[in-house]
Amino acid sequence: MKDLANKQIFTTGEAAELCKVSQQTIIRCFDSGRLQGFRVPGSRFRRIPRHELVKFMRANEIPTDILESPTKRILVVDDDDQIIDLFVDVLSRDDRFEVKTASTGYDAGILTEQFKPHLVLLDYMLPDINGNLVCERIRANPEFEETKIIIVSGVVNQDEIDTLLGSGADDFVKKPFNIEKLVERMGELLGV
Amino acid sequence: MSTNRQLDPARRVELILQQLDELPTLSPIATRLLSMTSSDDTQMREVVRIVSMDPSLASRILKLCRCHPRGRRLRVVSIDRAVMLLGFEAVRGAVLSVQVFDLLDKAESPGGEEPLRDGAFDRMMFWKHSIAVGAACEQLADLPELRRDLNRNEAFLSGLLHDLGQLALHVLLPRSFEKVCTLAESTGVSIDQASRRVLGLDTHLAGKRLAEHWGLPNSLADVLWLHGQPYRSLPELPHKRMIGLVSLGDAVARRMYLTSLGHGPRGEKLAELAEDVGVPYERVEELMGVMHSEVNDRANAMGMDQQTTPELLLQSIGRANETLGRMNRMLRGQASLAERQHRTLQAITEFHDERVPGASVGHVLGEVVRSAAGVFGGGFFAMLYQARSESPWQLYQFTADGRLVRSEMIDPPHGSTAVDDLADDTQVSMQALAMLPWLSDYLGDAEDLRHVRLLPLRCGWGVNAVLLHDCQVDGREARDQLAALSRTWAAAIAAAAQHAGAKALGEQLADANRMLIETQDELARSQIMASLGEMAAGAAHEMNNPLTVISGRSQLLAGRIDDDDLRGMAEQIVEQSHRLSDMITALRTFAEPSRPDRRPIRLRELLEEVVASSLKRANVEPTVSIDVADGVDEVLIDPDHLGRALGELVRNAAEAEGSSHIAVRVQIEASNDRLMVQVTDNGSGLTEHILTHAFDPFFSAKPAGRQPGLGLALARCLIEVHGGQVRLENGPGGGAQATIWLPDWRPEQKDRRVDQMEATPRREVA
Repeated sequence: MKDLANKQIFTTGEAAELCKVSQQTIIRCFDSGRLQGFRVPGSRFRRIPRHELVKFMRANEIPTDILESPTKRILVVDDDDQIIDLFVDVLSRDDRFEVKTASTGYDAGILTEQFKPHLVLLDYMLPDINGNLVCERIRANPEFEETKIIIVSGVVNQDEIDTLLGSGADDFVKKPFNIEKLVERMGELLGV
Repeated sequence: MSTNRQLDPARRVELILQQLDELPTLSPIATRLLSMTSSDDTQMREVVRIVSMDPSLASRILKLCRCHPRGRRLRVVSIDRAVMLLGFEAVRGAVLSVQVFDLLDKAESPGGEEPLRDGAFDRMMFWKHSIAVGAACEQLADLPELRRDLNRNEAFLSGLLHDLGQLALHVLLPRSFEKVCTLAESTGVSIDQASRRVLGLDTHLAGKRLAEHWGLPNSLADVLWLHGQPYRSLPELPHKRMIGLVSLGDAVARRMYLTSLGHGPRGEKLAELAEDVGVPYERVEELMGVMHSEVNDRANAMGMDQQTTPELLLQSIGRANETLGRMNRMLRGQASLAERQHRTLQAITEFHDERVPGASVGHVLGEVVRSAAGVFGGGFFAMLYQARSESPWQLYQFTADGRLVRSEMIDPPHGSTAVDDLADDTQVSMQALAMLPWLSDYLGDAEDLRHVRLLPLRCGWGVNAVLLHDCQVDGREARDQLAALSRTWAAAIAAAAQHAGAKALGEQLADANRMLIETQDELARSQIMASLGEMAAGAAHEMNNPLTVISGRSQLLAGRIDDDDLRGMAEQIVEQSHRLSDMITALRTFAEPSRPDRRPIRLRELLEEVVASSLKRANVEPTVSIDVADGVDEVLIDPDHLGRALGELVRNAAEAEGSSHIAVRVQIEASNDRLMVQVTDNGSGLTEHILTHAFDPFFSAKPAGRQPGLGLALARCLIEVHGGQVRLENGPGGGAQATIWLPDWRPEQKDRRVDQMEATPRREVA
């Protein structure tokens, strides 16, 4: 079961198991278009991406707990190693969080695609592209609609802070921050 | 002559010169004598023979020879003997004199003009003058100083014939030359000048031409041509000295009134002339003593009317008297002109004496009127003044003695004559009502406007003032006087106008300078602020990262420490790193405050919050009273900005030396409806130094070791972006008192402001 929870692509059999219905039902739903997916090129095998399956389960009021891992994936983006270390120290000690880090906007993009974080702690001043652009890219992808973004920055000007929030971030936390309050805020956003 | 008049001057002169050539030539004897030298023995004997054969000629020559200084001592009884005793040249001179005299005396005008016997030109006096000059030259040439250079006989001849040109013109053109003489007589110019004016030809040139025609020696021709010119301006001729001598002889003769036309001396400086030629002046004086008898002798010898020396003297005196009379008349005329000019000059001087440097235009106009009243006597006076062509007119009215009665702006009717246009009029004064009929509207109370005249006061660049007066200005002299005065007045008014303009410009310039300095200061300040802001922004990023690590690690550390003391230390690190970060934020805000986000806030609540948090931070516990005036509930402000600013003021009051109570009072300023918030402590007050610098960044009056900071500087900055003001002073109770004034604080003003902002473009469209 643990395996299924972390999979990104499901077969009709796996989907049936997760939804606790017959494989035939899944196939029927797939063919009628109520469950979105694709066929493996060169064969007729049906495959269902994770988020489509989640959408399908929610639409049919099938509990999704079985798919959801108890830990939340957090992506920390900052070009300062010491700050990355600090975040890793704080968050990895908390069972609720699984942490990955990136130190450039480019890495942040790739890791967002792969790691599919629940929440991104995003620094504003990055060596390649600025945090607000990373923020806008993530928001532009419907797959990450549910992803939360907190911008953590030493920026002090209110006008700049307003711009950052305008680019789609859920919150802004000024550096230096109170760790307790930050984690509290993360919990609020993630509903844990 | 009438034909000559129509000819162009050059052609006429040429014609006259041709006619000169038509005059009879000298007798063969004279011609031969002229070409001879003393060494030419045979020819000389021949001449002697011929002359001796003409008894009349011979007797006159002998008479003339007896006038010769040496002839008096030696008995000259025959031409032969005269030649032997006096020398050839003396005889030659005598012969030539007689011949020329005879010739011209009998000659008639080739043009057929009748000679005038009773005209202004007196032949007798002409010859006497000629003889006088000749005699003078002869005597002077005989002086030891000149003897080596000059021949006395030649000198006599030169002097005798020097004015031959006059005689020639007289013979040739009797009527025209009569005009020349009359002109010379009446105006006092020389014959030469008069001749040039009337005939276009001067007598010297005529003389030279005749001399050439007669084949007289070149040196003689030059004397006829050039005598009378200043010695120093003569070309370097070998006979230059002779020419000078004749000029001197001529001047001496004039001085003795031995002249043809009654002309006295022409102001020649005998002493100077004598010095130029090299004659000691005493000799000239001696010569003048014997001049009359000398001339008389010669005239007799020439066969002129018998005249005794006293007669000649009387005649000379008569002529001298005539000259004196003429001169007297002239002097009387000049004296009265000088008197008028003196009065004008005096008026101008008085006018200038009263001038005050840098006086206003109005003042100068008054001075002009007083000056005019002084010259013309009292009367009606007013001034029209216009600073520039497009500026309004001003009318100043004065009393008879020039005191200003009133001045008013006047509005000339459309299309009326401009003050400037009066400049083109050459009249010195004209009827006011004829020129500007509408003036009567303004001068209604003047006694009789029909007599009021306009005097445009004109200077180089036009007219900017007009004097209105009712004085009688008649006659040329009075008008001239007025013209001179009016220019002086105009110049003074123009100068005052210019001065006023320059003063105004100077003031504008000073204003502009002040503004420039303020703008420069402002610019420098904003440049400093901009770079400070930029630096603070950079610093915020760079410094907040390490502060994050310091603070974060300390927080983790504090979480793991059980020992209270150690945990306290770790917490202190956290606190101080946040304080440092706040300071960076404040610096950034101070340099570039964000736009205030005004919204309606309950002021009392905000004050209570601010007081509480400030006291907590200040770590002191004074008592605080908050007193908000009725009618102040919600206020339209940015709570972050003003909360911060008020917090700084409260904290400052709390930390003040000896402060135990803080009073916060809110009132509405009645005069301009500003909200006034006062924070007063009961401390010992602030020194002048602190009051001056309290709002400077990082200035602190607190004891050493206490935190200095941006506190009050930031407070002022935040209040100012709200359009407000803040002042720190010592209050009536002795403690420090900070006052904030805020405009546009009423919540309903928010909508109204929006309305206004939208209304403005609409109005522009309409």
